[in-house]
Amino acid sequence: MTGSRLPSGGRIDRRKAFYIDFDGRSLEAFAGDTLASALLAGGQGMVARSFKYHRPRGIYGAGVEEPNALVHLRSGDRGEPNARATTIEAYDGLIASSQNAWPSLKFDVAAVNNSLSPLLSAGFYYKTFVGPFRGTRFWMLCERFIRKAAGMGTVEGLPDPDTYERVNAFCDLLVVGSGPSGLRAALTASRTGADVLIVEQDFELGGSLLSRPDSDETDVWLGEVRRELAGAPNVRILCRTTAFGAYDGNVFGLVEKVSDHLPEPVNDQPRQRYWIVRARQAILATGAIERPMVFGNNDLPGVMLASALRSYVNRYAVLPGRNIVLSTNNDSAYQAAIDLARAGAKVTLCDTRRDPSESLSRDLAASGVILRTGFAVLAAKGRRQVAAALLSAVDSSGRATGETFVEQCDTIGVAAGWTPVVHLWSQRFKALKYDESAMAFVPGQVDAPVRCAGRMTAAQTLDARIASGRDAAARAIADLGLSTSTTAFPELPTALDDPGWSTTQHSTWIITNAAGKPKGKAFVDLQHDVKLSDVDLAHREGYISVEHLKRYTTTGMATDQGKTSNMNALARMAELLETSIPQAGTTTFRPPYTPITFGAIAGHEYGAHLRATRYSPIHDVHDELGAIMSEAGAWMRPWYYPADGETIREAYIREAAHVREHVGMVDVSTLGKIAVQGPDAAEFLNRIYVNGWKTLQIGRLRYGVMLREDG
Amino acid sequence: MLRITCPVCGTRDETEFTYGGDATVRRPDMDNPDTPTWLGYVFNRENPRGPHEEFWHHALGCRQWLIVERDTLTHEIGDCTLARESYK
Repeated sequence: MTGSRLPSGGRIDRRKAFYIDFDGRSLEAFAGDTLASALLAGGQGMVARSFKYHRPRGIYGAGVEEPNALVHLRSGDRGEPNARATTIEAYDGLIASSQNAWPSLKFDVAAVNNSLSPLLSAGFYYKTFVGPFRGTRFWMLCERFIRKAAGMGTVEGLPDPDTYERVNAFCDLLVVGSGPSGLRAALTASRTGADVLIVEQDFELGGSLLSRPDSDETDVWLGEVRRELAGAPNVRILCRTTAFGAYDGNVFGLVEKVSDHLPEPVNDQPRQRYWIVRARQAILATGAIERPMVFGNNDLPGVMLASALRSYVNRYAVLPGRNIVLSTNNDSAYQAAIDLARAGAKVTLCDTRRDPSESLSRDLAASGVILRTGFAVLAAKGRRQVAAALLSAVDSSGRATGETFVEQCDTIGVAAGWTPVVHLWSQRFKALKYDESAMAFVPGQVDAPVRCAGRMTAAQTLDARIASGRDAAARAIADLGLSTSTTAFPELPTALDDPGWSTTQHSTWIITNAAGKPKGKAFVDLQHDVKLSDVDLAHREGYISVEHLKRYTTTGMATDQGKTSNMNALARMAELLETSIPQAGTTTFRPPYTPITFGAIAGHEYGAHLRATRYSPIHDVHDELGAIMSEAGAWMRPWYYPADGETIREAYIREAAHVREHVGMVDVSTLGKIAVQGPDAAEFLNRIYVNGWKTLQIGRLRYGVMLREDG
Repeated sequence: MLRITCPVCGTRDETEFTYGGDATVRRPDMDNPDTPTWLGYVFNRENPRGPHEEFWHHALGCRQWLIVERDTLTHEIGDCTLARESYK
């Protein structure tokens, strides 16, 4: 129990208080909270058990990058498994429960897997069960139990009571992301009269600005921009909407969560809406996700992304811990440390660099943060919650150089750089290039009506990001044949505390002992329980291509698609191959960016609406005669007409006998018909069919055989 | 998700059309007895990287057969003409 709600501040609305339920525990929440912020405020440390080893897990991030806090939302026929607590908007009466633990979160029987971990490493199903006995019978026996134990959430199997809609939409400019660069781009375009569609996955506009302290100088700017965009008749704003896929022809797939923030859809609203947007121009301003440090036991509840700690303090007024150690290798964590100290926590910042910027160090000291240069967290200590951090002096490759000591703490923040969110770009173009100074993959050059702006392009300072949004929009506007407005735009005060993460960053992400091995289980992919040792194992076994590494270890293949794991896995792989990261390569991102529900894609097209049932003109006659019907394509066709008590066989025999001795009629009105007319009709058919037609007399029937050109 | 500009109906979604095969090959004369020619026509195709001409049938529109130029790498749609006018 380390988290607590701060007495004031945050962007929550304290006038609207209510209660939510997690695993039977009632927690206070406010409008503007997520389930995760309410859980942290209520001191809930462990919220889940990990995929394979069933290790205790807590909340790690503050957004879609969350790998751990997957819960079962709602219940019964509206139950949704694997829902990220960090993106669920809290509402009065929300009920959520933990998953992947039995009989309870605290006492999970399957936690024994953790002790069996040597038998369950990467690719274990190819190795552990092959060998003891000849053949595959033993494996097939074990597979049944493994399959039952595998997976995370459970599906109720009940029909979905909600409705979903599909919308086809068109626009001149689609802007994905409403952080400072996206907003600036949208503003530039809106003033030209262009038809602009802004898509934002969060419930309000602002992006990274929302993680700054409230009543920050940027809030004035944000308020002005929001007001202008909301008032522009040529601008449509879709919040709670994720652009999940980018497709050919500048087509984008979006899913809008119309009613998920309410207990139930009201006024006949659909639960979600699937948008197919055809945009003449598009600007991707999807930001970046922070990159974790990898060290021993880095999956303990209490280990979190430093940027998430900052979000919880500034946006939700939740202090995740009282005694916080941050481990970083770049400038961007310094502001998080300062914000946490101002909120009342004791903060120690370990920077792997020996000589960080003087001005930043001064600001840090002024806030009461203890700075340790040349140090990093080597291992987290604690049973089910962080109790201490083992700190070690490290060299520039993240290897321990001798001096270590234990620092008591209840929270460890990690900040090893940022990974631009290039998913939509990569889905469509694949062309990524490696930015050396940002140590990240950024969009490359293509000739298409799609541009990128902001942190996604590794633009570092706030000024640079806003300028990139303005420039991308200017080029898009020019391509649309419109002209930019000359009215002054709202400006941000210069010299804001946003130092970015490049130019001074060290390439130290993985903290190990002097021999290069982590101290304890060091996790690379938290959601799929992939350890650093699994990556090493894959390399030893010869899976050296990045495609093989991914599939053999399953790193990056969970529902978070590797948002906090891909780069670290690649970094380790490149290290083992003794090559550079760009040379090691990347795998392709696939839609959807975040999980989407099948219902949204299906929309109204399910059941009878997916495939209309087609009836013969004399269907009623078949019914009256007691025909048993069968489906032939979409048609209902009679199968057999049983007399009382007859079996199929008896009915067939009676029918055939009757036709032989008397007359029979068969309804083939359901078959397609083509009329061929003219004097050469028979010759024409001869050239298509295998058999001949010229001897067929008028009034007679004949079956024919047609073949394709290849026989 | 592509859009094809049918010369009869205007710009339409690709879902209104059905793909009809390679438009750069010509069926040999029915009386042609040469087996290699027939084998070439039935089984062998070029696989170009770049613009490629192919048949599309506007099944849910005017039902005309069209020849569409499509870039096999980028799926960019180029010229679209009536097959009866442009097929060589």
